[in-house]
Amino acid sequence: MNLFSRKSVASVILPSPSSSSPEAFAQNSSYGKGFYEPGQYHVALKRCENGHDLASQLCEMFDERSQIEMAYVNSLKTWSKKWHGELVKSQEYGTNKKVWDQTVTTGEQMADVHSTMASNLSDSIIPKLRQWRKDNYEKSLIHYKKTKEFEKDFDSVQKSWTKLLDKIQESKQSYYQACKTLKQTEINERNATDDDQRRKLADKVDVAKREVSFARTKYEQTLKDMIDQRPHYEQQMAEVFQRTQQFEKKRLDFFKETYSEYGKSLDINNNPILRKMYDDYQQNLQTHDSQQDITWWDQNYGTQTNCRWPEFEEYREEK
Amino acid sequence: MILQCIMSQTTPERILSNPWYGKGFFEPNQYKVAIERCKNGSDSCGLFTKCIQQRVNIERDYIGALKKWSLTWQKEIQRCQEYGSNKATWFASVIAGEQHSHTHSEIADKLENVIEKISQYQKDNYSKSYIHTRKVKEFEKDFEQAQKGWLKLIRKLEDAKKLSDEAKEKLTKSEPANRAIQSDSGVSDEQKRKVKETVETLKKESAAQESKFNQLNEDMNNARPEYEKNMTTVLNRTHEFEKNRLEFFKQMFQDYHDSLFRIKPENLEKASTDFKKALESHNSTKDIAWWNSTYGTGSSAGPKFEGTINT
Repeated sequence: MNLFSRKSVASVILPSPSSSSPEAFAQNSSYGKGFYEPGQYHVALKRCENGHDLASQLCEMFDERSQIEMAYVNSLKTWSKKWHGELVKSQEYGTNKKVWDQTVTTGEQMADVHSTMASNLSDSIIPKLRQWRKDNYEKSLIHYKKTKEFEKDFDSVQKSWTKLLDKIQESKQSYYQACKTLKQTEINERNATDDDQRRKLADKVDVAKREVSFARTKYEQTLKDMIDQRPHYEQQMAEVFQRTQQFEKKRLDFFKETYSEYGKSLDINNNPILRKMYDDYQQNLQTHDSQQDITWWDQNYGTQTNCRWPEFEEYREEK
Repeated sequence: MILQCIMSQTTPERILSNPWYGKGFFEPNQYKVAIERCKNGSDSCGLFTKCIQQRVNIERDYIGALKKWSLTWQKEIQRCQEYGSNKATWFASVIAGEQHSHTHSEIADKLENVIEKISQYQKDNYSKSYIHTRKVKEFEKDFEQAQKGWLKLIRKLEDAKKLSDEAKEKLTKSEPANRAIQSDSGVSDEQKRKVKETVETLKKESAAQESKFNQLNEDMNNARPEYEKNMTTVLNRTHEFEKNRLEFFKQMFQDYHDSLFRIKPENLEKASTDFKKALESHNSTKDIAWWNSTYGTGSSAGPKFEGTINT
């Protein structure tokens, strides 16, 4: 199954399993073992615990993103405030000034858009993640309660099984030992120098043969016991395991929800604030009228100003 | 917006406090307000450039931060304990998050184009190059030229008025004394005659000055249409110059708008589509099943009989 079939874009590192991820088959030390083998259930426990860390990582990632957005928001707001002030002081006038002012306003509007995104992250997504993590990963001493439960259950199911396996090992060893002894005794018999010795050793060989047969039966019996027990064992292990699977599935589903919510907050195309910013600006741009501005200026400073012209001033006696 | 400002006293709209306001354009030196406006145009260009440049810087900082964040988290996700479609979706969410940087990159690039245009306009219209002299200097020269003759007339008129007034004053002062002397029996006729003559001279003088003044006044009235016409012509050229600037600024505002809003929606759309696809492929059942077959109950299990070497 190829999970990573996407085209690479400049800044993307093509995702490939690193040595520590569950997918790095060759290098992962847990790989290639059978689940039912002793102790191997620990990989399921580890997965449960990882869920906590993964949630933390996701929180961290979103938090960093939220901060980046807020930094941007603040820069834009500062810029906007500054330039409103600058414009007011400037020598601009009329509709031209108004439109310029509107361009500055886009700064704070854009800031609002990103502010929404940031607060979506910090006020909705991250708290939800944190709450979920808290609910599912209650801690008791150094372990999480849930994982401790699972561990206990796996342990108790596997206890008797491990005993069986030990018995098998033991009986196998005894059997091998008996075989070795037989071999050795047979060699000794062959090498016997006199008949008396040979007879004694022949007896020994018989005993050894009986031992081997006895040990072999015992060995086979322990294996049979194991085979009998196996379905029950498997079923019990599977049952505990299914519970870990459920626990994990819940996590995966929750993460999916989280990604989806995040995706929505990125989708600014249908953002009403952006829409309004666009509309305001368009409207404003329509009012730009350089002819009007020029005319206004002419009225106030140009040819239409009230001029004082020299006129005849009658002499007035200064008394 | 404009009403909010209490700060500056000298903007063209702060009418009451603007020292240029309330004067007549044709009055001496008042044309300078038109020259001021031209010069201000250049400052406006500089201001506009600065304004947008600062905006561009903000965008670039944002882009840098996003890219860094993206790279960091791509690495983290690669290393982490996630697996399956969940991992792929997580990865996709980082990529989607980075798409914004592409959009903003586009915005920044376009804004920089606007800056270039403004700089060019400023250079073309306000700087001294070896082919064009500063347009503003031209206007100033032409206004001065148009007003030169007029100023002379005004001065002449003022001088004439002064002389006329002086003459009148002298006359007025002399008349009561004359009357007194004429009716004084103790004064000789010779003296009476002399005084009378002085008064007559003063009368003539006053009349002459007044006549001169009137003539100059009439000259001025005659010269006025021509003067107004000349001044208006130059003023209209400054109007044209300013209108040109205003139109240019309007175009720049349009470009600014396009930089912000006419970004290729394809980029964001693609990002959206890609991410939605990744979300759809998220399959927790599948992931669980995979894990199960690799590490769970589907993995090989159970010891088998291992016979001895030679049995």
